[in-house]
Amino acid sequence: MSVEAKVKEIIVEQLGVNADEVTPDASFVEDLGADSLDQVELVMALEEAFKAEIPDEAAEKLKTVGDAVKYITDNCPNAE
Amino acid sequence: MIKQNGTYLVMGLLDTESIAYSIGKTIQKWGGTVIYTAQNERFKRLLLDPSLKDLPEEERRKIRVEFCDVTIEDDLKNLFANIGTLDGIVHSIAYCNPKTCLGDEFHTDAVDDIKLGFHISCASLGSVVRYAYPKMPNGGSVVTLTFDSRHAYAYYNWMSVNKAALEALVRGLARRHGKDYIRVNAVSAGPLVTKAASKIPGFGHLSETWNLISPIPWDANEDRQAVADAVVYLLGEYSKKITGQTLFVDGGASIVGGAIMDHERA
Repeated sequence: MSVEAKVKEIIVEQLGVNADEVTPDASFVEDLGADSLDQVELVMALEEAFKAEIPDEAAEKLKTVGDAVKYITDNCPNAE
Repeated sequence: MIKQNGTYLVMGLLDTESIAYSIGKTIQKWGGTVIYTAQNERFKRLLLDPSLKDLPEEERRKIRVEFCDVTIEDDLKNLFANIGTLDGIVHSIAYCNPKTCLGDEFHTDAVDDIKLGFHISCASLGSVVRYAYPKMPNGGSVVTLTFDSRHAYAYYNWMSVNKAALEALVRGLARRHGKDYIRVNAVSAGPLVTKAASKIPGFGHLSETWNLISPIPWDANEDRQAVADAVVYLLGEYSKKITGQTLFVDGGASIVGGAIMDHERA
């Protein structure tokens, strides 16, 4: 499974949204209805899935689905 | 009311909307010292700290937070190794996966989720008391938060089962620790708007309609103080022979059958 597909799957699971809403431009807060607790839980789920640590400063910058996919691709050696 | 200069551990702080926060503030108001616990450092930094920003410096300084994920044995060990003698504990902790344990259906196949929900929402009270009771050599009071488990509410499914079990555990622990002069009780609160509650499907509807079944008007945004006051009552000496009980602080909704009629309204 590609990083993108895996990230999408986790977002669908965590936020309880439909897969077709999870587009690269979709904002977690504005489009997918995430609140601050959802965002923390999402980051923790991504960390677990990709065996990575996402520092808070980086986590705060993950505003869209595309941001998350790019961050994992660039920073997580265990991805793919 | 509570022991002056007594120390109380208040577990389950997510942000300033948390019931734990109202309880902690009320303990401080009556002269007690509070140690809060949050699940982990990340939750504190990303949820609690931003919510504290607007508080006056004086209030912020009084917030001591330790970390404890109640499902991690080492966290419990470390927590109680790092704190001194206690006079009471508030367990304001619950979780279950809303997708499998709450909702339209009773999912029975999500066994891991059911176990995790039970571990966090019920069994953790037992773990906390096991580590905590040697820290209360002069006796103490433990209070947990529950939600009416005698009635079946829409969507609340497995959490209702966890709450029924929690209330049974309260009785068991009360019996076990009577000889230690440690009391264990639960407060069954009406719905309160918190970050955690917002994850319960149908919670908005439940909290809005609570008034229809509550003899005393209930406001899910405002009535957390009534719950905090009852918790502090159970922590303090005025309740010294009360143990193993579930005290309902819900406007009376849980004793009513059917809706409140127009002529009964305030």
